Amino acid sequence: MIKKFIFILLFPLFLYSQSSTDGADVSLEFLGTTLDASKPLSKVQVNDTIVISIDINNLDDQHSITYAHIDVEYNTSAFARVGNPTWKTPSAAQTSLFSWNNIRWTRNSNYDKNDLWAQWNKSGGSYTNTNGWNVDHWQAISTTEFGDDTYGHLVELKFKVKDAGAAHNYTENIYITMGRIADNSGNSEYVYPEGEVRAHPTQAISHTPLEDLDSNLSINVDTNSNVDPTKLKVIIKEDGTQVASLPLDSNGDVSITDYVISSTKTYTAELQYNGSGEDNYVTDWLDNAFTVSDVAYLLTETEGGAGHGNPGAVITNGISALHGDLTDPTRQLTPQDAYKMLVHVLGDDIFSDDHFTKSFRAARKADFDEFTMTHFVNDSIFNYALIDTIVPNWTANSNKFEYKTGILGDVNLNYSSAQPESTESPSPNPTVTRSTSTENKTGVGTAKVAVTSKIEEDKFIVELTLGSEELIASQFKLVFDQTRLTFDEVNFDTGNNTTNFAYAGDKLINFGSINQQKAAIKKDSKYILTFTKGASVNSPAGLFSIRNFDAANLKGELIILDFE
Amino acid sequence: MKKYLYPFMALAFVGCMRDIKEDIQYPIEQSLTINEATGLKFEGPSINDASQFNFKVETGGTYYIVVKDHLKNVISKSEIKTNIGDNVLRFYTNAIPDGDYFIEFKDPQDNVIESNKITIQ
Repeated sequence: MIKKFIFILLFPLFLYSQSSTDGADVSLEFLGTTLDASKPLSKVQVNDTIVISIDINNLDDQHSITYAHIDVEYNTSAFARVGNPTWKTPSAAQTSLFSWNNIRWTRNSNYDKNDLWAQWNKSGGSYTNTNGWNVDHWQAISTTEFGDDTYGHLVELKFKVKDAGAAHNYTENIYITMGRIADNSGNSEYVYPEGEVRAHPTQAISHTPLEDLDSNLSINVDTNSNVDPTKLKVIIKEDGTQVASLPLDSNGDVSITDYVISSTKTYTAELQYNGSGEDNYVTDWLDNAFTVSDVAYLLTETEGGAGHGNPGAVITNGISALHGDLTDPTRQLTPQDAYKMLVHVLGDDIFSDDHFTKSFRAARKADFDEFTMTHFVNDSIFNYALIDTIVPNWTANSNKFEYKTGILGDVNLNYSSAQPESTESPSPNPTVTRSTSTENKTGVGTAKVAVTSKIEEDKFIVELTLGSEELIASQFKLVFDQTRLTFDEVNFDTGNNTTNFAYAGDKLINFGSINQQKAAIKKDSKYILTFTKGASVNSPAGLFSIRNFDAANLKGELIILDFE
Repeated sequence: MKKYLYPFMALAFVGCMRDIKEDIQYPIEQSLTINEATGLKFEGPSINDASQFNFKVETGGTYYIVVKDHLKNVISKSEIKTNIGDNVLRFYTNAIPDGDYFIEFKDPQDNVIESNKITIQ
């Protein structure tokens, strides 16, 4: 009764498993190509030479396999067997190969197709003349046991992969038809019985080969040093369907050879943000690229706003102009553009969502490098987007698709790729570069800012004092210990003609000023930030740090702030 | 009535008395002990949030703690009031990215009194 129960319980498992529980399994094992042993079958192309082994796995611990003959048929439109086979049997084994052309096995429908000995030994199957199919009969006999690992190789074969035409069906184009396995080590031959010589796990090769396209394809995305390319990835789509998501390396490089594999399909590459955890596009890149100095720079160009003069002659870089051209009409820098940028910096997020998609841009390197103010003004076509169509030159040994990037709002180009000096200066009169742990910025000069903080009763107070009388704009990003401090307010002492702004996140306060009245922010202007501190806080040390900063002079040029 | 008034007044008087405070001298942890008359000592070359340090001075008063990143940029500055001798305080790191920093202790005349290089982790 118990045996019946166990049998019923395990019966589905018996049906599912094609492997014999004893006896022997015979399988085709793909061993890569002659040029690349690690190449997966899915990447095999026309004209590759693949290596296939016939494996035998002895599951019967009472017998040793000393004899085998295995038949393998293959479609001659898809494959040509080439080279000499490599026998893996013991050195003293006698081996033989017989081949028949234009022959194919007609399967014995009375037995499982992978029941290899029954397929041959029982009536019902036969070899019949069939054009386009060959059969190889592999046979070996030895005085010692075959195989030396779990799937011992009987013999290794090589096939040249052919292009059989678009209409060809590659299913089971290499196929084990039958097999006989025996043990001759005893006094009499033991033939592994029907039902126990199974083709398992792989009876057939059914891969449709890829085109013979041997060009190495890669993408390079050149970025500003403030933009870490490892936080970007490339999405490859084939006829609109995603086939790969590939992070860039630290040089902005990624290989796409394995994914762009057809000359007849359409491939696109889309740049996406790949940051995670602490990485955040808005706080790490956009808010640092799109700052008050960019606004000041654009204000000097346009007629409205601050109107510090010289409209039409301040911004001479085409990429700069594109980054400030945020409103209609396009390809014109207008007071409306400057106003929109100002609105954003003052705290009203003009992108609202999908910040990366709406503000990050890329163009082919050649187009980016040659784009000038003249191209901007003349409304020249410039594909400044995140998606590009990849069209390889398949006759070339390699194709490298190169791009450069920028961020809308980054008018002074501190977060955008550089153009060659022969095109235009990427930044207005840069003379000073300052590197911090979070970014590099280049400006035309420096200005002192005194900073200090202290505890007063239950308050923690941070005070910044501008030491320059030539600034029209300033912006600071201050990180505070949100586990111990609660932000209360910012008090501005910056004069009557200055527009001040401040907005606070969980642990970062973004604040600053801009003067739109053609005058500088008064010297010794102060920003006083007040926090309520936790009762256990007994020291001011380390409760805040300056993360980023930004400033511009009366000409709208970027000024590097020097804290002391 | 007076028999209730006197005890009540006495209680009110005692209640309004200023608390008697004692300056309790807590022992300084061994790792922060400074044998010299002045000095600066952190718990180790690497610190984490709320680690303690000892700033020992001969002249009490106002000093400034200046935090500079590895490129020598000032990223934080704080004013502290010190007593003569040991001043054990905490250094908070939640607002400072992990990395190497130079910590300078300055007097009001901007003279560097003590300095140390630490790693925040």
